[in-house]
Amino acid sequence: MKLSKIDFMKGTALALLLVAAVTVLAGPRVQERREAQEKTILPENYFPDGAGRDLIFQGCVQCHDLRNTVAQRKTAAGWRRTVDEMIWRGAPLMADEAETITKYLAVSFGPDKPIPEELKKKSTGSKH
Amino acid sequence: MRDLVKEYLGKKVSRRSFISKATAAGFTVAAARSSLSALEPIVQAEVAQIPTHPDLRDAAMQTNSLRYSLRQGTGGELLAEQIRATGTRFIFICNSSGMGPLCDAVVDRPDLQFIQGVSENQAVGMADGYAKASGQASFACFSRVGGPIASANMYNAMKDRTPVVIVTDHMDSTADGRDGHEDLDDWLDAFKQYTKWRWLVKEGNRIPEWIAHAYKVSSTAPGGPTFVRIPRNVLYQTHKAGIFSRESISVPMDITPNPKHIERAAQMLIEAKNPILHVGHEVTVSGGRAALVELAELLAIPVTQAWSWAADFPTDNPLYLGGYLDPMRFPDPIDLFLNLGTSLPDPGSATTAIPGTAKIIHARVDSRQLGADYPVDLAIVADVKETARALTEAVKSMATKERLSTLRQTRWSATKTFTDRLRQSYLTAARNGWDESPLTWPRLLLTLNEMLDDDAIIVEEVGTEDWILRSFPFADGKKTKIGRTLGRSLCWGMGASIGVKLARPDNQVVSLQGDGGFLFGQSDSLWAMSRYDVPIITIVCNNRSYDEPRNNIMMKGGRSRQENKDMICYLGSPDVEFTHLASAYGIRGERVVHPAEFKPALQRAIATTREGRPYLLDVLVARTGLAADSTWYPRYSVAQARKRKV
Repeated sequence: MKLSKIDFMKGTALALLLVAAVTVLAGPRVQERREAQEKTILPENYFPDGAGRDLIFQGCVQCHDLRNTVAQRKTAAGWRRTVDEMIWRGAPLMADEAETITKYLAVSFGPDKPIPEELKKKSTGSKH
Repeated sequence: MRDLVKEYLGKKVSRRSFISKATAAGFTVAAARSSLSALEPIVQAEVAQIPTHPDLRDAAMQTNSLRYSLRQGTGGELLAEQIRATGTRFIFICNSSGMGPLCDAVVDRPDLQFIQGVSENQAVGMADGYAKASGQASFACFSRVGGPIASANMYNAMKDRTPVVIVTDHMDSTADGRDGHEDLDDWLDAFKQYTKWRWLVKEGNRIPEWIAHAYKVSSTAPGGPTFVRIPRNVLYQTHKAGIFSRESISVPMDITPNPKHIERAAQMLIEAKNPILHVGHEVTVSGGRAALVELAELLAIPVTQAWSWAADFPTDNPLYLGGYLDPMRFPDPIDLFLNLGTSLPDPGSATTAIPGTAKIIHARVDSRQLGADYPVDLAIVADVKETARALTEAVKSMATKERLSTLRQTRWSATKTFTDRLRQSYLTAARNGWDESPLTWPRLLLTLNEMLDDDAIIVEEVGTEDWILRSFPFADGKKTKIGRTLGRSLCWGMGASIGVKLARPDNQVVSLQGDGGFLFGQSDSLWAMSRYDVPIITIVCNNRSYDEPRNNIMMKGGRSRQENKDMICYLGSPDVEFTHLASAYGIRGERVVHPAEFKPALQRAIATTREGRPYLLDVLVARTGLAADSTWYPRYSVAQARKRKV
């Protein structure tokens, strides 16, 4: 059967409408799923027990989210520099606490530790 | 010279004596005679003490006090006379045909000094710095089309509530409102958000009235920039008008707080276990730092500094905690939040929320924000110095010495232990990176503190205030911090430092700039620095990056972070040689590449400024934070995109 030009146009329009409807209906769901996934990522779940854990929650969370912390891998020297920079900027950490945190971060988030896939995606960001 | 002019106008010195005193003060005989001839019409006019303008006459009769004197002259001359009457000495001006009548007027008024800028924004920056350092309203003027470019520093002045009077010319009153040459439908509306008050003067005999009004509004706390436009033809025409004295436009704002409120606040302070004092710029503007220290030390209340262009509490005081954080590690939990002279911490910005368990007392002279963002327990509209004084007296009268002593001792000891440890921690963290190259921020700042005069003024416009505050003892009689602006629109610091040095010529002044901030059109100010021999040490902290935005963008973890692509913050290509920019303006300078070079270079800078010339140090400093090592940027070459080599 040969389709007339009008039939062809009607068919195309219908197909386009269906695609649009699917997109409109699916869009929010994809977005919702993504948001739900984001919400389930709680940085505190990625901090292993250790002497520095509590100190991090006392002296770092005032200025930034911790997702960037758990998503990075650095050597001990790298973490030392990061902690020092935070103190330069005003983090309320004492010298002995900085030492403890540096060691904790180096052990927990050293270059040998793989980064979980879900943390490679978008973070919630800083408080600022 | 100003005093001499006053004496002459007050008929306390003769013409001959005027010339002899003026020449003794360093003016030429010709200049002294020229000044006398300029004053002659005033002397004649003052014979008629009663203003001729009906409104002025009525006002004068009502108050039975002649607080102004009559002048006749061009609009430009009346403008000059009114500026002079307010006590203004420096006129921050840019090239402008419309300022011709003022130029003509100043030719014969040597006590008014032009300080010319080559861009309007820098001229407003200079005026802003002058006002902040002197505590007096300053004056800037430029072309009628200069407003848009000046608006960034008008905005900064508005956010800081700095008293700056800004005047431009305006399309002739016979032709304005037609969207014609250099005209808009409404020139004032565009500046509504950037100014506390604005006006278009149409009658020449009211020029002094509106200029006086601008000074009054600008300098009455909470201050702010004001903006007056005067049609060019009106500036050139001759008018007769009363000039307002400085005293007549001064509105004392040392408002004392309601004693009932003070009593209640004092009671809350005495009963609080873990109070905190959060302070801002009204402390400095009111001259209330000493009163604040007395109050804080009376009860050993720990103090946090709000974002402010000033250091409002001594940074070397054991009670000084630094910036306010939520949660505070000390004291904890806060049960009373006494906010003096600033907005309450904004949960939408870097400063965070006040714990819901804390009672809030909010006291300041700017009532707009009182109780606006938080349900406060007690709001006090009053001068901050007066409030601090009244609270101190009330607390003393409401508690026994023994009780006060007990309260104080416990808190003082705990706070000092905490702040000593915090200070030690900063120094340890600074030492950890001491030998790194490029230079680290703490090494740069701590070295500056060591080598600069004890009473040096740091005009800063670099990203993170906390490492500035932690590195210097900012206190009365010690170093002074001016900047960064609350508005944080980059392009302020270089001009501001010139204004600061004009206001405080006998203090060492250092302009501390980031390379990114400097590139926001601030090399313009090198021109004025050089022309007027402004001996300032400019330090460009050159990390070839916008550190703060890079960290803020990367922290969000978006595509830039995932791909480690620094889209807009890397500045190393081209690698700007800031000393070459200085050299173009006849200013010596040097680049500091290795940390060991910094001290000797700073010594040369200090020596040069002592000789009376500015100096620029382009100091390479380390980048910090996320993607600090990235030198990537989105490349594009117009040359490569061409199809023809033209």
